[in-house]
Amino acid sequence: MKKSLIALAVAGALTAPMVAQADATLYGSMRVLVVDQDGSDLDVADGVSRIGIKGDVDLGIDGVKGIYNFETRLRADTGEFAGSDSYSIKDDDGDAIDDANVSAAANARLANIGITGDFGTALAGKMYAPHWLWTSAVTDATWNDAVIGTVRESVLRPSNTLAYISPNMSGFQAAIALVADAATGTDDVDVTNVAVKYAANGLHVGLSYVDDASTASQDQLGLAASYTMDAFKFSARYQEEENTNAAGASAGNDLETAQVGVMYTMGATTLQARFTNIDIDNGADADQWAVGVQQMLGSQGRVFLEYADAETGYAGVTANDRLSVGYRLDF
Amino acid sequence: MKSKLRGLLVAGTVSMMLAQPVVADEVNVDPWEGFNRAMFSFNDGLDTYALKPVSQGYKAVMPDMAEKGVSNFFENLADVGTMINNLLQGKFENAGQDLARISFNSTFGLAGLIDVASPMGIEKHEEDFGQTFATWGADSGPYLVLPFFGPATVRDGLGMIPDTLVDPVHHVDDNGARNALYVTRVIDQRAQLLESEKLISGDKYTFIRDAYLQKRAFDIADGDGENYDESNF
Repeated sequence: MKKSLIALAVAGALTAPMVAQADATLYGSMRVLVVDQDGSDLDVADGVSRIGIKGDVDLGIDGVKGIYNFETRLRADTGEFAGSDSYSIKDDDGDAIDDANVSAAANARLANIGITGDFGTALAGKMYAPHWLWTSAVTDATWNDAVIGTVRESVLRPSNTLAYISPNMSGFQAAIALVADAATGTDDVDVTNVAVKYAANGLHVGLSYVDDASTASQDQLGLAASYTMDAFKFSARYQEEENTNAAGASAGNDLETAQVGVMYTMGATTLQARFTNIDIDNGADADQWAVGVQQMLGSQGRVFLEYADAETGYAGVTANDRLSVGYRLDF
Repeated sequence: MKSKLRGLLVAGTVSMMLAQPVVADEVNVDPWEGFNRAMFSFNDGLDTYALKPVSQGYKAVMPDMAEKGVSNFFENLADVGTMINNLLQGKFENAGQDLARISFNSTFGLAGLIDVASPMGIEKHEEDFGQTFATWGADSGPYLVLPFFGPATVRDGLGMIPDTLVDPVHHVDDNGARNALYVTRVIDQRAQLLESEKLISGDKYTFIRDAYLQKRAFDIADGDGENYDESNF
């Protein structure tokens, strides 16, 4: 149930009667997990809960609307609005990746405004990268425990971003996102992401290329597809990363990720399984198995169990022998 | 006028045919009745003097809620065997629901003491190897009363062996704990029958046999009346 902020609007109208209140939507998702992970104590953990406001405003131009979206993480286990944007993302040496792609800015997930119309959508601010939406999310977004769901994302919700997403042309869409942060790197444009997707008749295909020149140079190519057939949904994703150091030579830690997943839905019950293989040039490879069962309780509540087992100690695969039992409410 | 008469005649014949008891080729489902009756009296004696009093005491002492919890606990364990048998019978959707039931009842349902899956809308199934063999085409064989284990058929009796192997209680390492679980389960199951056994009237042996065979046929067909075949219990 999207809750209209009528009360707020009324309160606002009393103090600032000249400000027209657009129809803002307060939304969120509260997710709490009980996690039993190998080598750790039992943990009542936050499953990346979030709360946000979104909406659109009339710009007075025919067929064009202004849109805005703000979303922040809210920790369901402690209540604090804290922690980094993304879950701990490590490079192959186990160090946290610290560049424009993974903002350390506290807990802000999304903050963007834009315009949308027949011509497509233009957005500015902090937003989901097309790379995530059209390739990574294909195999990740169905998992409730983000640690199990995400193996490695370096382009997730970039800050300082300008993006254009084309309208849907018989199933085809194209997008470009540019990250320009004066504080990062020496180039005007630090990260470029171009992507295309096709989605129709149960088939989704996404292709995305990322050129990241922020600190060292990184190229990423992602390809993902999913197909829904009756109660089954099959998904697959392949991603290639090439890393070069400041001198322009290969950093020797190129990385390939391959994932296949299957999902089966019967009424309110969903079963899913996924296999991930990570092949890294100069480090240990990793295999991860994940299985999950989810039960929807009405349209906005759900409970789930997810289990992941990783074969190696590759730092990017944090979900090693991890069982999560979770409860989630969306509003 | 004539056709009307003929119609009446036909109707009369039909109704007379319907009134006749249908004597099909009766399959004797109980050729071993002598042996079975002997085993039945043994079991009945054992029940009357040992199991039933204990179960009555259990029911009297245990609060209803705790009793329900114990039943749920064993039902959750039974879902494991049900899931395996649903897989073996090719009922993958049912097996998926069983997996969901076990997952949620074992966690949110506090190790199975509370059946949270049923109110959540995940259907409960009851399957065992006897039913699986039947699905694969095995005939029931004669009715058979096993000492201690009670009514069965040859097929269902054989099915009890793999049933035991997939029973989680069977895999409890600690002897004491395992035996305690076995005993508790037997008492729990007996206590659940205390109410319904009041319905038994007439020859107890025949009553239980017919009820058992009818129930098995129903379970094998998963309640699907069209596949109900009374010649093959």
